[in-house]
Amino acid sequence: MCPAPWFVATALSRHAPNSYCPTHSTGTQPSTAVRPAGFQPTVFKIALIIAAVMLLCQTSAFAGARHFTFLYEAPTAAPGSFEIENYATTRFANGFTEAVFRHELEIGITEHFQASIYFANWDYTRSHENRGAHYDSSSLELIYNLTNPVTDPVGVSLYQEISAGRRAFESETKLIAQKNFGPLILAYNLTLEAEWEDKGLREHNGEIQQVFGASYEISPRISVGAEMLHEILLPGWHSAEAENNFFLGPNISYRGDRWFATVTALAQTTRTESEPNYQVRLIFGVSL
Amino acid sequence: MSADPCARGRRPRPLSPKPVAGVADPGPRSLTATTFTHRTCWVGRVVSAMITLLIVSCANFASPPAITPAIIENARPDHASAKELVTGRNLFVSRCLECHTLPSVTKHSPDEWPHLVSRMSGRANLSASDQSAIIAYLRAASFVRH
Repeated sequence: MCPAPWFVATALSRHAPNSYCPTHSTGTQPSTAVRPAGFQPTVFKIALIIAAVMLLCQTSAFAGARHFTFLYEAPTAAPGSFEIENYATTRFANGFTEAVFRHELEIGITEHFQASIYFANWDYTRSHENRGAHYDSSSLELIYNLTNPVTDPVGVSLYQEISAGRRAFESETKLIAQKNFGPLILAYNLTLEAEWEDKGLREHNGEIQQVFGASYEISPRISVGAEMLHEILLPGWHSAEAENNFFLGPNISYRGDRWFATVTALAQTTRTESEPNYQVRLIFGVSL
Repeated sequence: MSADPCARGRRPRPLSPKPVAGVADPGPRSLTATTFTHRTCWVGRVVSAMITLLIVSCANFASPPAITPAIIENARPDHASAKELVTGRNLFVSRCLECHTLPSVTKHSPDEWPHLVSRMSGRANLSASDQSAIIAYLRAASFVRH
């Protein structure tokens, strides 16, 4: 296993600024926080180092695969396996808005239990008031598989993720359901997300999210499908201010001998101006 | 002309092309309503495609067979016990699923399975005993015709 990302993550957390208030890492709202000058180049360099280290690690790697990018699947990683997954999500609202990156180390603990560490959730924003790369948070993720999507009526897994940044804390709980019909995979995720941010973690927001996806394996290496995302944003946990957003789009996945890549492009089918019109997510994974 | 609201780039047409004396002009159709219909249509098409794929997949779907006396009998030449076959099936339906959907056990012949499992064993993090259990199960199950 390549140990370098641990050092990089430690260095990254030391550089987190006091005045930066990150937005939630997995949501779809473009970041609007103002970051201090001088911080972005440091984070950007460190992020480049992370990317380089992860590329170097590929030489001794081969991977499992994901058929979706906005959805999690019920099966967990094989016990004793290590895998790195890199996420890149690009969002467009009247042109490029932001790109969000995550770097995950996935570890198979037992036959039905896996843990993941997200070393760095960071973004690159290109707007007038807020330009550059910024560190958001780091995360710990746990998934426990209850039933198998082939042999049981429905494959079910439970998911819990905790994210913490300099001035933000986030909890994400997910129910993952999946059923395989031969080469067709149907999956559904129901997510409850709670976020605390700002000084003293006074500002709190919630989000309920459901994602449905289908993926068809047209060959052992290639799958194509679609994903549909429905999110209900609850600012301050007030249902009166709830905002409903729908996204829909295709996905494609390719599995190499030692890696996989999956891409999804979603278009917003509602007309929420504060949300991106389009978002594209790529997950590139290799095992160690 | 087709009345398909899913047609790309089609603008809403007025209900009546020419004003009629004595009849109030209803004005153009609401663009919001048309856009909503347009989007709903595409959602409908995607859902229809998924249902079609589901039907096609179910037609070809065969769950990995459970361990039966016939399969145990097929495994006798490989000296595989019933317990090893159960282990092999459990590993097959869990580890192989991490990367791809499960092929029908009869898709490959008993002679092809050892090579295929061996080739992917590193990716699935299979030990030597895991490999031999999966191979024993697949070789025995692939004799069975469904």
